[in-house]
Amino acid sequence: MATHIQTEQLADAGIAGETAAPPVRRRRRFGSGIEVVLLTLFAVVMLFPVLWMVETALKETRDIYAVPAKVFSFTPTLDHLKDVFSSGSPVLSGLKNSVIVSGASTLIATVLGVPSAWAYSRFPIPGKKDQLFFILSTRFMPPVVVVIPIFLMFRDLGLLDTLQGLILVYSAFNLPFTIWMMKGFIDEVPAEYEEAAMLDGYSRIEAFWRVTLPLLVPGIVATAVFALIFSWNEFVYAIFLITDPSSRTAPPAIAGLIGGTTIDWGLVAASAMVFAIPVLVFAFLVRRHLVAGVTLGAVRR
Amino acid sequence: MSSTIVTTGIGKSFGDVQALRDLDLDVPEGAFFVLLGPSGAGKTTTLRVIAGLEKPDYGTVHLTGIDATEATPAERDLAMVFQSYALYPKQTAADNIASPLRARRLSKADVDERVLQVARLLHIEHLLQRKPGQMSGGEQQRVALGRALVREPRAFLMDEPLTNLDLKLRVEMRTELTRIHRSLGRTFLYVTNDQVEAMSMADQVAVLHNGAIQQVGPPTEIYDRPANRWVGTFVGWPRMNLLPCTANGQLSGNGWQLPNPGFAVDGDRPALLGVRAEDMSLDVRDESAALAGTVYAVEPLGDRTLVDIEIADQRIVVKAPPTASLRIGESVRASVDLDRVHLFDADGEAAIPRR
Amino acid sequence: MGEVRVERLHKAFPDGTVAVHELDLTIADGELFVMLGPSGCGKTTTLRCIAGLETETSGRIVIGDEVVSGLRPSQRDIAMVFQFYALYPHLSVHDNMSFPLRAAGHPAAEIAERVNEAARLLRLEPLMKRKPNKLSGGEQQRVALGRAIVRHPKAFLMDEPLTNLDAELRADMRAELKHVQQRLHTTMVYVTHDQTEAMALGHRIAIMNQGRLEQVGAPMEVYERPATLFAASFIGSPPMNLIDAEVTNGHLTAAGGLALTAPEGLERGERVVAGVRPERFVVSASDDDPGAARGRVVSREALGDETIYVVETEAGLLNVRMPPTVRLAEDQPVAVRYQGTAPPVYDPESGRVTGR
Repeated sequence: MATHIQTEQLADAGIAGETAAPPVRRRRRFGSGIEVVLLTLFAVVMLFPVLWMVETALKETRDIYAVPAKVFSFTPTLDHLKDVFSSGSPVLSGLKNSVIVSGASTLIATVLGVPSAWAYSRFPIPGKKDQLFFILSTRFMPPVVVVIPIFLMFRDLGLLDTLQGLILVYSAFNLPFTIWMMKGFIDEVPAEYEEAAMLDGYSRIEAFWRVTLPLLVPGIVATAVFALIFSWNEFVYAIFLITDPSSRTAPPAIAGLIGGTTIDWGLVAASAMVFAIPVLVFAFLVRRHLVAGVTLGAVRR
Repeated sequence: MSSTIVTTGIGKSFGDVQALRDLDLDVPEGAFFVLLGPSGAGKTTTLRVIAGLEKPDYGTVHLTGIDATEATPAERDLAMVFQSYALYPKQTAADNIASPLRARRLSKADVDERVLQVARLLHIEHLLQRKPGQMSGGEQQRVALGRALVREPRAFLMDEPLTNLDLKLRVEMRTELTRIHRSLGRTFLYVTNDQVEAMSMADQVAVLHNGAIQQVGPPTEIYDRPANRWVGTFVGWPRMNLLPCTANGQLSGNGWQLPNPGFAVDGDRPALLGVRAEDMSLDVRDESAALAGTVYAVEPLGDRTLVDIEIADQRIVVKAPPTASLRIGESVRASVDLDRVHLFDADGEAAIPRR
Repeated sequence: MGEVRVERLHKAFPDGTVAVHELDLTIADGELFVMLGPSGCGKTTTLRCIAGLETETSGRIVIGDEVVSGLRPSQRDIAMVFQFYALYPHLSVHDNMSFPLRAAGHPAAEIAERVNEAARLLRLEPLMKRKPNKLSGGEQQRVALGRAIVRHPKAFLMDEPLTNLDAELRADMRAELKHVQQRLHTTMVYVTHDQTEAMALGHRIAIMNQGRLEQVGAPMEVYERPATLFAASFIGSPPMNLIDAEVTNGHLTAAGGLALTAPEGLERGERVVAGVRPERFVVSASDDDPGAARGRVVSREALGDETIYVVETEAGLLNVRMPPTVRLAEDQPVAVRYQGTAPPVYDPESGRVTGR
């Protein structure tokens, strides 16, 4: 049974036999002025590159090179954005491939991950803790560490330069994350709902489908969005495994614009902007789950 | 009389913890059968094994004579009321109650009719369109009950359904459950840790402790003839007094002695004398059947007074009339109703029978 | 020496709520005085004012012969025991108990004597070297009590100390607490919401409700003749039956013809509320006694040594206490009769007891 510590006021009061007060921690209050100034400075430093990118995307080419740099005094143009979406633009095909690859790998990871997470949550599987740790451990290392072995394997399997290959890799990286995050969500839905449904006459699967799944929709959406964001932003494998420009996803395609004699910075900035918007939108939608996502759902009640 | 539920030799452990060991249960048809025991005794586990939600490590479950050990919960045709009610949060009360009927693919008309019937029985017609989140604990409990009653299952399993209700509601629902049981005439297997509930509602009580059944019988038998020390001290308030002694022709303890009123002992047997507070009296007629000590404390409770008496290094409680007035330190004698005392073996603590 | 006086204690909080209204209490030296009431009645606030943890808005507290209002708690020579045991987890039982004395500078010999005395009284001798985390709840509470006892204060203040213990332990500790207090002869002011505890422990009980005193008296006094309807419904388990009745020819008659013995000093036709304890009623299978209330058993609580029946009658739902040998079933038609001398009766408007 837990013992409870004397609170400081009572020790001070000396009435329960205490005459010496225990050490007291004083809380310092920051002047809120200093806080605000520091945070503003920090925000400006972080956000300035983004602001510059957006401006570059909207400036006429000659304004981009203007010295001194024009921060607010320019007339915006949509030419660069139009270029991004013009037919034959490498960025456009890059975006199209990104959509296919991200969408497919997210779908696979979710369809495989949710039932696995459910099994881990509900059933007494021998070695469950070890299995889950092993699954989690695949995300301990930066993906780039194994890019060369995978490249060699894909070459032998003829999967280089294919979208299927990339989808496979992304699914493999997304799946552990999906399982971990979904298990956390499923753990929070009491198993008793399914048990009640089974006693009502439903099979285990029916019980899951009818009762638990509807309650998991927000969790599934959040998990899928995280997987989507990872796949969408992925650069290393995208650039290593696919060299054919027509099969490239967006990140390498945009990077490919930089190089050679003249660089169309306006196009680069516009492409980056278009590329970033979906992620920003999705991240905003799941902002509450963002912290849990960073810790891979490991910190849960 | 046939049995609806029979478990034979059920054993179940979770990791290192042996929740159930060699559990034999026989629930007669139509009985209000209560499984009583403190928290952690294994009551919920027993219910879950019978329902098919847990697989026993060994042993069998027979339902109306058929071996159901391998059957799924759906196949067992049992209805269960969970302690937490387990109502589907996104469905209305009507949907919750209808769920078992829909699982069996009854026609919409049949379903609606049955749901309404049950709702009327439990006075919850006005709640049918509400979701569980919009109902009080008592209302949720009735809906959970409705979901069980809407079918005609082989038996009803209830896992401490009244624990989460406030006292007034509890007493009300207790009566209602008994009434429903009587009108339906079906088998109820009811689990609780409240001995007053068990004694008040049950046809038969099975006392469970540490994963094994200690005793089965009607409430009066559990109270008047406990099979072992544990049952004796678990049921009844104040707790049964226990005094270690040596039993032969006499019962001799530290600072006291009583004649042996017929307990079957050979030679000198170490034992425990069990006597309830109400089976002793401060009005001593027969000196030979009395205990002597000093008053440790006097607790007037209004309708009775509890007198704590110290005998050597032991303490007992005696129920006295409300007007009893004694002072602490005073010498006092308490007569013992030898027809109602119990003797338990000091080793295994089983009750020693009378000749 | 250890008398505690609460004089016109008034405590109001900044938001306007009045916790205690002009309370007067005189607690005799060596008395175990219980303050009983539902949460929010002002009992804990009063205790905390006596302790000095709260400052009274007006009025004063006197302990012994000293006016302690304005003094800090450590200066009042009192010892308090809380619901949470507040033991130092890193000190042994012995050190927990000797710490306050050492800190106050008592000589070692005296410390040893006081600690041993308390340890003997509370049967802590085999536990002296243990740390709190190796003690059970009951043992920890005894150590907390021991730590208060060694200070030889003028009074003990107890704030629901038994609430955290399980039922069986609570019953044991209750007897022990009563015994220890009577051996020590030290004034004890005890706060609880549990009426069984109040009845068992108190020399006198003060029933409080919404900051006011409903009644002060010895347990049996409060039980047999509660001063107000609130006190009547608060003390006793199951609760006292409160029945509307009218004074008729030498009787009190309630709805449905239930006849109760009329007390003296009432006028014919007067309407009262009669307070009948469950043990003053007798229920049996229907009979023809004209003074009985006919009804139906609504619920049955089997306690082993007695059975409590709730019977639905025209006079209301009646609680009846019967010996275990009487067996009546739910929904059975029965009759309830009153037995004995006149019950206390209350004026329906003021809620106060009337008649003699």
